[in-house]
Amino acid sequence: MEDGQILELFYARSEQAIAELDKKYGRVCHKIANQILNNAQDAEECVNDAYLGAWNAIPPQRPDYLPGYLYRIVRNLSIAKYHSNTAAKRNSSYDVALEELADCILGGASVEEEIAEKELTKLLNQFLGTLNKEGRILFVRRYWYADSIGELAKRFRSSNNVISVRLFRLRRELKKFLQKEGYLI
Amino acid sequence: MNHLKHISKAMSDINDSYIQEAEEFYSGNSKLFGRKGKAAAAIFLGACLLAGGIGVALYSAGGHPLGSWFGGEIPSLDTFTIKAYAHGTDKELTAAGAVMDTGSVTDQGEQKGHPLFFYLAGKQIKSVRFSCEKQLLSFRDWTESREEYGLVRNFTIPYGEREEDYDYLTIGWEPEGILEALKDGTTIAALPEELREDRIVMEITFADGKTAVKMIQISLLDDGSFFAIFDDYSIQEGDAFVRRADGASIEEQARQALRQKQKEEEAKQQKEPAVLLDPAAEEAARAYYAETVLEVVSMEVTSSGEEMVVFSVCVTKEGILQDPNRSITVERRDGGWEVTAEGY
Repeated sequence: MEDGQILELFYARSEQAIAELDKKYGRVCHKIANQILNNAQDAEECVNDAYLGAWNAIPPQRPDYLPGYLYRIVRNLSIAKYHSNTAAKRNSSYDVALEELADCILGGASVEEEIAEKELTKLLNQFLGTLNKEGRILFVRRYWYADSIGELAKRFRSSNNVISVRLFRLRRELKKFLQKEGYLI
Repeated sequence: MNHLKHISKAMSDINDSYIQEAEEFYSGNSKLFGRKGKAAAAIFLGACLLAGGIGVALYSAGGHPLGSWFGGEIPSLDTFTIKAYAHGTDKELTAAGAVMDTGSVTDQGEQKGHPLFFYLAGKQIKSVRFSCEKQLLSFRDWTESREEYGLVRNFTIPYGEREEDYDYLTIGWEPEGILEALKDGTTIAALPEELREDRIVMEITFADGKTAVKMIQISLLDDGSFFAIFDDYSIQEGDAFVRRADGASIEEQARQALRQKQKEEEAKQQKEPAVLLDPAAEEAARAYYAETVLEVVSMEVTSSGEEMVVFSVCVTKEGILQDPNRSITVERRDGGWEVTAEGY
């Protein structure tokens, strides 16, 4: 079913909208949640909550890109759950990805510790805009979708080692970019 | 922790376009990062460029809980439903058939994209034997724990208990014969019907020893796209291609090539007539040492030819054995042998 038709079901308040959403995007939603939480039960809960969130928000909202909208809800809910879980439970692919990114971004002293998240998002968007397509996709797959190195190797038809090296270089480029923009010194 | 939340939230809010781009991307280019590969990998990658995609998935029907690997309750074969998906697009491939939109060929014999590149996913698969009737297959294990295949017709892949790895085991269909025929000047429409059709038979063995046979039937359409049907199959008496022996893996091919090279080297050495050592050469060497404080204990030829001989010489000096051996070179000069080099 096309996204437009699914949105029409939302607008018609048909519960079939959720079924169609799950049918079309459920697999990726579960994967995103599970990558972050590393717990099938928690992931299931977050995905269901995301569906409920979408149900409550549409209408009035009408997302231009439905899967991105849904994935973002899943990701945010999963991250919120991730932070509420005990440290002992954290051993997901997301942990590793987040630590990599944190090492890069927090590796230098932050000039403005309280800099708004929006500002960092803006810088990340700018940085992504400077990358070539493959680099940008690799970065987003790793640090947004929290794909493991093995999954990335498969997706990019490369070896684990090449992916690791490429990610390392991307983080280094990000660090340079943030330094240049005055976010890091 | 606040920092982590901060970064995490900032990353969450990146532009939709980047999320969409990353979601829809699946590499069609095996050399994205200019990787330096092993020769074997290079062979496979070449094959991959000719591959296309279907994903084939095995699922438990009706959501029955499956027993643990080699333990618990293993469902009977008829509890399995088989589904197929186009790799990269997740387009389901069914018995009704579907046009593969991941790749095509042209009348000039050029291949665009990957018409057929697939993987199996499912429960409790022990191994799968793949047999391609006319064209060629390749296999790549992205977990790098199985031997890989490039441009062969039959091979058997062990799957094992890590079901989450099954979709990392990718099989490419390589329409080499079709491309060659097209490059020879034939158009797609003029290709003989038998060349436009191919079959891949998959003999699946499950952990409990039960088996199933599936088949992908591939047809080249006039516009250069491929139509694929995925269905159950029963091997027929005339299916000789299924009974062909497995091809060699890329690693095995490399090992075979190495063994062949070694054999050729040995044969070459055996064919070369041994040069008879002229006793005068050794005499010349011994005569040299006789003029020195060194006393020869033994001599061994390390290299010999008609014009030059090199000896490794064990000597003593004032009764003390010298280590390491010395080396002396004698060359034929004016009908006799003359020492031209001596030392370590």
